[in-house]
Amino acid sequence: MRHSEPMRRFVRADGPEKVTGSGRYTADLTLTGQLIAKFRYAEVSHGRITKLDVSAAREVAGVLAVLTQDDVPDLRYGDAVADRTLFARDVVRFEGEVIAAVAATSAQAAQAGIDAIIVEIDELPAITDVEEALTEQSPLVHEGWADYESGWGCERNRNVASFSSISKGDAAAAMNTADHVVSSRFVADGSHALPIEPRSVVAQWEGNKVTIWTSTQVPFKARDGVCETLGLPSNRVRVIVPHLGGGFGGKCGFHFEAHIAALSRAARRPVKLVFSREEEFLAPDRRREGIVFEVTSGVMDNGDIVARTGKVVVDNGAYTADAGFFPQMASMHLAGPYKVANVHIDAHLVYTNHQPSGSVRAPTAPQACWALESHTDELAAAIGMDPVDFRLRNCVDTGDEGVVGQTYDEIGLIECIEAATGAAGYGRTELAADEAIGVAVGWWPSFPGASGAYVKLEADGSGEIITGAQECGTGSVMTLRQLAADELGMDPEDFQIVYQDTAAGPYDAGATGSQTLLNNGRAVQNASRQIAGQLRQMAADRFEASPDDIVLGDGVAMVVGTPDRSVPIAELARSSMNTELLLGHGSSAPVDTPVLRNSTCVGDMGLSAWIGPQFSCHAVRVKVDRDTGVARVVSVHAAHDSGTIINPIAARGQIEGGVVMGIGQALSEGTQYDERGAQRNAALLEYKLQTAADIPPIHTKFVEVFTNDAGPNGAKGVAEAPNVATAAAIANAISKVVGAPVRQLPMTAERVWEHSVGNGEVAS
Amino acid sequence: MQVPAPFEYERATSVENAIALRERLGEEARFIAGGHSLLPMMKLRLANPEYLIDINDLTELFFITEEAGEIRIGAMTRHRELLESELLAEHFPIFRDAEKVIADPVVRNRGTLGGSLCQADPSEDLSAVCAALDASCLIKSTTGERLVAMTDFHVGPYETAVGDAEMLTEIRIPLKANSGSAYEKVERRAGDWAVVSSGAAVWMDGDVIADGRVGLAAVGPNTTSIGPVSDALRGAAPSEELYQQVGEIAAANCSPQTDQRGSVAYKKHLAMELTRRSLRRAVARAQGQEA
Repeated sequence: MRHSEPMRRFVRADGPEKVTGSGRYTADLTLTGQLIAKFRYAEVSHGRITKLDVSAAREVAGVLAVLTQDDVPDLRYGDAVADRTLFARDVVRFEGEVIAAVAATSAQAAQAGIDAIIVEIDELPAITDVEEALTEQSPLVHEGWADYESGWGCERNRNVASFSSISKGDAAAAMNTADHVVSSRFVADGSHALPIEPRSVVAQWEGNKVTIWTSTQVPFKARDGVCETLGLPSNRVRVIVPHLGGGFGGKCGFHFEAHIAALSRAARRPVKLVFSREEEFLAPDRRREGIVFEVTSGVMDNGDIVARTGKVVVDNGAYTADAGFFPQMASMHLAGPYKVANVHIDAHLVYTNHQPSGSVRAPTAPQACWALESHTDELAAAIGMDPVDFRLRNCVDTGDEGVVGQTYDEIGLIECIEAATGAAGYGRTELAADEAIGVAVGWWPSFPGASGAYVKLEADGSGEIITGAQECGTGSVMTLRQLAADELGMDPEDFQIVYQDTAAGPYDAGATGSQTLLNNGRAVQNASRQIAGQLRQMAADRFEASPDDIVLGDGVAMVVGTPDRSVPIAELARSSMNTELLLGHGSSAPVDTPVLRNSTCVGDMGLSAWIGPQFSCHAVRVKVDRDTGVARVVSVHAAHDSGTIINPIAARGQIEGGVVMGIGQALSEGTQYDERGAQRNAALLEYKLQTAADIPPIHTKFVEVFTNDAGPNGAKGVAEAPNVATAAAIANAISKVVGAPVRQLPMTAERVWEHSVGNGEVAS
Repeated sequence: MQVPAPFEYERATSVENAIALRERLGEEARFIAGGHSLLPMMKLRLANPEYLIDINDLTELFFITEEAGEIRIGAMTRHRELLESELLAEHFPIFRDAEKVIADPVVRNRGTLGGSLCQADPSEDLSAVCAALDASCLIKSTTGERLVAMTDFHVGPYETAVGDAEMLTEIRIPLKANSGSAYEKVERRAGDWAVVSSGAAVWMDGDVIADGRVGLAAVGPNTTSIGPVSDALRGAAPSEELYQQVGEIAAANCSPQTDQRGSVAYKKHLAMELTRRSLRRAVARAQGQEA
């Protein structure tokens, strides 16, 4: 097939702009008369606002608008749980919560306006321990939780914003029959998405319509948030995303677009917001959640896992954002891609006075995979079986029934394990005493959904794809050219792309859930096929042939097998001006979720059965200095079943990026809080991202399994899956060297050292 | 705000010109060398000099030479030159050890030895290196010059012996026979500030250590040269027990704080462990066992 030709040349349409600096990002925009916006933040994690007086701010020279919750429609929003207002009213619940906003003629004037706002807050005890917050005795983060609406039907109670469980068989009874029972506890710190571009928003009103340029991953979601909170119809709000400087999930969701649109309306001038790095750390409601895991499994001497129970407590932070489905996702990942007949897992999403959690690349999965796969190595050790053999025995394969009773079509997990461990030389390589290869398996769903695109051919034969899809750097939108070109027998370079503009393209969910190519790819294929049909008909008319006998390729339409009866597509496009324009429109549709058997899932929100599940295995070689605790990743071998690979270069880039992010989560990235719930390392100096110098060689192998009901040509998603198993594999390597799992994430050098000492493993 | 406060800028044409400018402009003036510490501090408004005197044209301060039984290094010598110098690698391999783990190539292309020492950050690697090597600092003024030992150069965190009308121009390191030196660092990621680092230098007399020094970084003020360490090393025969004992002395004589880089217990442990390692390597090198 064309699409799987190895290493087909891939020139990103946005590459030259981004590399040369000619591309424009939101913060590059400057509009005539533009004002600068600044926010006043709570700065305390929990407190009651006793005084809020903006009158002095309104008198500051250059200040043209000051807004609080009194100046916008007084409604709560939030898809999962409507627990939030644009500006804090009465109570502040995390340090980065916005209390007021100012627009002024300069940044200095805006800051002076912010400083002139009088805010008095009676500080309340910060609720920071997620397990304590789960207890009946805990004070409430939201006193009025019972009055909130949940659009997703979240199971809620007090500080629990969403509860989910998976139950299958009789886990308690089966546990009693096990030869060995192993219980483990793991604690993962929260972390950040950390796109290098801090977010920016520019808003401008013309009449009763507003245009908002914003660095979002989800332009339609951002538009809908503005419409909901400001009470506007969809067709009066246009969201445009200039180039986006990274997202990693942190720019999913609706954030500050309405604040800036409201400021702009009040000031009657365009208004621009540009975040500092510190604001990018503190204010968005999309940081990666901290989670506490308890998991117990029963295994037989022969290696079969017969029962698993678990408890997951996810730190929701102060507001729910899109985290309502996290308990379900974490439960699935704690259950894992294993054949376990008896399972019971409870998962709680719990409010605290931390920054809100939200979808950062593969939400909950890296942490849960780290906990489960560390536990899995403990299970293998308990019965004296090699951990890879143990996984091969227990993990799901084609035709197997998984943890919620879903029966899998053709999948490649076994092949992934064999490919990654084989390439890493697992079990065959001589390793020094301070080195080990750790292995972990991961999985992640695909998210089919509605998505649309138009394709047109101009009179000169050049093509344009007009799509609702959003490019967040992955290359998935850029790959759409390849799909259109394949359908139309043209070159990818023949197409330009108009994208990330809600007024131009049809709906798309955005750069979220690994869904762009999966869904918008099908939409572009469908749109292109309409034009292909038009071209075939035109050529058929010209050559008095059947349209079925016309093939499109190399830029010409040809009667099959007769090269002298061919016409350039460009010539057909020119003649379309006299007949019917070459316009196609396409849409992808959601597909039915698989059937579950013999299991119940409370609060599952459709995420317990996975359409087009992706699988992976990472085998990571790590060197551990036991006396300092320093762990260095020597090499990573990653094998992935993401279905058919449409664009090998871009897909490989996703694997490498996901692995790098995983190494950071494993070893250095973690939010530290003080006793009042404030972040202590909200700066790049103290929040340690990995850099190029830290990164080992990363070897990628794709196990290509054709998948029904997934994306174009049998593709599944590929953006989030690579982030799932790396930290887990590193953990298992460290554990082998120091003698037992390090039960906190990130596994910093100090934690590894403490652990090493605790296990009496320190060399003399 | 990531923008410095307004300041005036002068480009010095010679050392004399630079010192004269500094004397005239007074305490509100700062020399700018590589700028990798000063500019970020200015952007964060932690430093607000009224004048910057740019000394990047002073080519007379770019050198590494062997002269009068010393290695002499100009204050404007860049990290990259320290990393790549074969002369330094031959006599004081501790420089190459340290430079391999200081920042990244972009910073090393620009940052200078003099700038590092004058910044006097307690986490500064080159301060520990120079202290271990018993270096001296040549400080000039309009009226003359003086030589200050590294032990007296740092008078506190971010404070040095260099006066308002003075300039550090050169670092001098005595060349003595049978020397060995090494540097060990634990950092949270490549090129980061030290959690702890330890530099060691020894001078052998036959099978015993005639003299030895250890400089630590990031474990509190005044740990760039630890007297009791040298007392324990002088006249001792190298052994694992000695390295352990000296490591413990180093740990006992530093005063780290618990912060985001680590706890006091961890840092004290690292001071011990890294001193043990740097001494072991320094002795091995002095004995010709390691290049």
